[in-house]
Amino acid sequence: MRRHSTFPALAALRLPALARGLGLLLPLGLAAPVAGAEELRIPDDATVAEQLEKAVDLRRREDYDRMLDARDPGELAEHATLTDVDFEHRHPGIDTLFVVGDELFSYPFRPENGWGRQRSATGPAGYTPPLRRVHDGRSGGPDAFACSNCHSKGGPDGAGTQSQVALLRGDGASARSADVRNAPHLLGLGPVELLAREMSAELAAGVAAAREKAAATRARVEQPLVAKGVSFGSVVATPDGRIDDAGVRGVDRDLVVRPFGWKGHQSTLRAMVEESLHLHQGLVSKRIQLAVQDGSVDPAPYGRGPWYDVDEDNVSLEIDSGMLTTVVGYLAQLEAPVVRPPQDPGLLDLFATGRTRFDAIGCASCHVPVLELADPRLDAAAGTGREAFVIDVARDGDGPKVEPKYANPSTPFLVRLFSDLKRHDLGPALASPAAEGSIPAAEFLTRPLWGLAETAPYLHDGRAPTLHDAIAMHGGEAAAARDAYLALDEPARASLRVFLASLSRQPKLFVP
Amino acid sequence: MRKRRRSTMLAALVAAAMVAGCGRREAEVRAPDSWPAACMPRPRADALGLDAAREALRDAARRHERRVREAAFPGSTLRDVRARLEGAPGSGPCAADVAEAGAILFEHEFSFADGLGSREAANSPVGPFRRVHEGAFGGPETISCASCHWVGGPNGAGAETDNAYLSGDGDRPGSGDARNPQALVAPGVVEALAREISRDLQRQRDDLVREAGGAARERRLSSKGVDFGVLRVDAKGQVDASGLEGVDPDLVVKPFGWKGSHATLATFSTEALQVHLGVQSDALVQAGPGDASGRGPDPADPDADGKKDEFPAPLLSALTLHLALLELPVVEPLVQDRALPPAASALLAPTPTSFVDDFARGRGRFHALGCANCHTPRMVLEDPLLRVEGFPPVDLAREMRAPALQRDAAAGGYPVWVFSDFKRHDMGPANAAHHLQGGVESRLYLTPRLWGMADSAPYLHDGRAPGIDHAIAGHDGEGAASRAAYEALAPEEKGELRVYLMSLRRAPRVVVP
Repeated sequence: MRRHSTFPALAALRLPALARGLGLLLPLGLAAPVAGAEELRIPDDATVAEQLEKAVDLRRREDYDRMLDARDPGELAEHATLTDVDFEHRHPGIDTLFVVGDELFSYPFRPENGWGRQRSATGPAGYTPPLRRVHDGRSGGPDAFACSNCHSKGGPDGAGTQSQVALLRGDGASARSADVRNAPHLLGLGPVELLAREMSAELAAGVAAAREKAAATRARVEQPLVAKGVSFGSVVATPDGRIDDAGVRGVDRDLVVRPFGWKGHQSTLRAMVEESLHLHQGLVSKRIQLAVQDGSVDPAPYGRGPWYDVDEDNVSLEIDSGMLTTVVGYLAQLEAPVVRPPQDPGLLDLFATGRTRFDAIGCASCHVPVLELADPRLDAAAGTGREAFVIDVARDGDGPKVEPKYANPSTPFLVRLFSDLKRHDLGPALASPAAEGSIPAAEFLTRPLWGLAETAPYLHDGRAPTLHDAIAMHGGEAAAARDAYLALDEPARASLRVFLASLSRQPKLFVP
Repeated sequence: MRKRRRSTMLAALVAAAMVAGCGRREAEVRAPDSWPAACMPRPRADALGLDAAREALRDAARRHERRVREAAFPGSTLRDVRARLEGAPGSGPCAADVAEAGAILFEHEFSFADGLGSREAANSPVGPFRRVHEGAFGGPETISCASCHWVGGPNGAGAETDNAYLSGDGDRPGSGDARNPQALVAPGVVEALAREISRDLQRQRDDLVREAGGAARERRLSSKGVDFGVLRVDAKGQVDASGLEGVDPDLVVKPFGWKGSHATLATFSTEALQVHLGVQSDALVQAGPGDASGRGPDPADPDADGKKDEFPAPLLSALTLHLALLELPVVEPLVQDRALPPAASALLAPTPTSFVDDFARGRGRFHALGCANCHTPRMVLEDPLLRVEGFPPVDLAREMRAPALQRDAAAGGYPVWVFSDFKRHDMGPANAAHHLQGGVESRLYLTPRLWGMADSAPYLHDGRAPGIDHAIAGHDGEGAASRAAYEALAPEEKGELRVYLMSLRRAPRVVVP
């Protein structure tokens, strides 16, 4: 441990200047005294020392790995890779999955790893295939080397900044042709996938019950569809076993809740990761490669090459399914966001009124504060046909975690995500240029608000620099809540924004 | 062609404004000659020590409070910063306070109420942001400086996703010049070095003209061991700059920007605030309406967003001072001498390994291949005083964050390992830009400083190189010979050079991102 010296006298000297500056910050007659900057609470020394040691160790490992890679290229990719074969023979632990997944997440893929498509000849300009900032239809970019290059804001696995927006489904050249997407943060996604799965199961059970009842009573049964207290419209079951799903709302007709993507188009982390690696990094997974081979997938988005190198970059088997399992296992172990009320007494008071106002003006009807998760086990290898690799999202990996509701072993967990995981029409002003598959242009999944504070600018395309802008741009089904906000006086609006700005993540030490 | 002229004009206008601004302000409010006597430099705690960790957590807590307060009272952050910067000469804030205020500005997320963007952008049907710049006016494409300077830690580089597309048509990335945000490594030292080189070159020019005394003469100009070509003077006393290499005829070295288009942090920040955030500093507004600033009906609000006085001079100075006092990077071969436990159950523990030998051989290759011809490893700064408008001169050696300048009597000053000759070079047709930037010819680029490069991937001006091999492969023109020499090396020899380059690192600091 390195030694350090303290300078208490100097800190004291600078205090008056700071207090003077902060003293001017009391507009609107907010009379509460401002906490001196030096009085802000931080964790105790033992905790800080422990966090610090962890951060320094992590940095030393990264230094070592990248230096090895500089000497012998490929070392880093190797350290960041667990294949299916590794899973079968080495039985890596959950912690291994976290460490390796972490490396993979920030690994800058290179042309020699299969990054991009259509590798051009070695030469000053052509050695690296060009980045394509505006996506070319469903073929995507590549627009990035590493996952972390669009998920860095507010800390590791964070959101994207405004410059990092993805320009989806464009013509490959013009930003205006594209559907703009601001990358969301990735914390707490394990519980989100599981919540969606439980909700899908609840909806399926509702349909099954209606079908049974209709058969038993030989009558038409209109069955409201409710999952975790969220209404998804209704279905009508007829005695002949048919289901009329015209009344279904906010979810696809198959009643599978898809919580990932701004539009809610993917139901699993695995599918989301596989899609992102292709769209942003031009990496084709082994699964897709084999699907191209057996003709079960349209090869057009991937390229025109032979099945074993469909993207014509002279690299085959770019992403082993074990690598997807690794990234899923890593993401499922990430911490959950936390609510960090401000420490200043005046701001804290606003926070409290803002929290109740959030419910009162109708924000909470879509941004549902808490959903309860019954089963915290996520199989990172699900869908591979291989042995399960189970992550307990309420326990494994980085804290803080979703909290148990009761102190018994069968307790549900409280996922404070501020979303109903349902799609809503947000009006023409926010609508995408076109529908995304079966999802109408104006529909978006209720964006979970947890961890919001560090993710400005807001909304699906990052068009809103401030919380006020974001609220004011809500339309469609959210128009009433928006109008209720705009009808408030400024101190009341401020309280709501204070509450929202407190939806944050736990501060952690890093040595970048 | 029109666009070319525009971007040239921006640089000229901004420079003119800075000069004009300086003169005007000096006449009105003279900056005090010295900082208040009670001012102490910032404590230089071990950047990986417990104190630094506590400070990082306190900093994060302050940032969170500031963000919440800004949410409650829009504009409060900038009001706070302005208040901090006030104070009568002699009793005003210390350099450390000013730099701290500048750090807040660097990470501040601007809102429309703060002056973000222009009226045109705010009313645009495609949203307020413009991912591709439109001419010299720029974006905006983001809301804070920190948003594109994060790779390797705060004030770092940008990823390829953060590339700016300069002087474009406002729509197609291909119409502009892709520029990868550079890491802000010890920019104060860079400005001071450039100023000394400029001073040397101009002195040599003046000497030449004086000594010529009506005869035709020529001499080679050089400074800090770097040759800048030949300057001629004819019998009429006319100076002929056509034989100069890597520097403009005015002999002002411009070390900022990939093309070397700005001499000072202040002009560089002025342009960056405008083109990336649409925030108009006093200096920009004083340059008058034009393509770069806008042509709104009110000359005090050229971008017509209804916000005047978006970024007054003291704010620009604070931002400049924050950047100027950022620490030096280190050259440090990795020695893995501590027994680290395995990171996870199935992984091997990092073995004790020394990269010192590879480092040493790599250093030899760096020189043998000719890399060091342009990427000049060491320069010696003579005078560590930096002048920032509105404030007394700052002693970088005293005020910088550690690692700071250290005087070496034998070297006659403050040696720094910067790995650049501060000159522009022809990087060949493969790297040619579409547009002129600051009047710099399309194939010319300033030798990028390699210090701290281990923490600044991806590489090259357009960020197209994810690794060192790709970066070297991108060298063309004057760099082609060294590239070819590198490519001819055996694999393990290449590895040694890469180890050497990866030893040029930022000094690790504990932070809360």
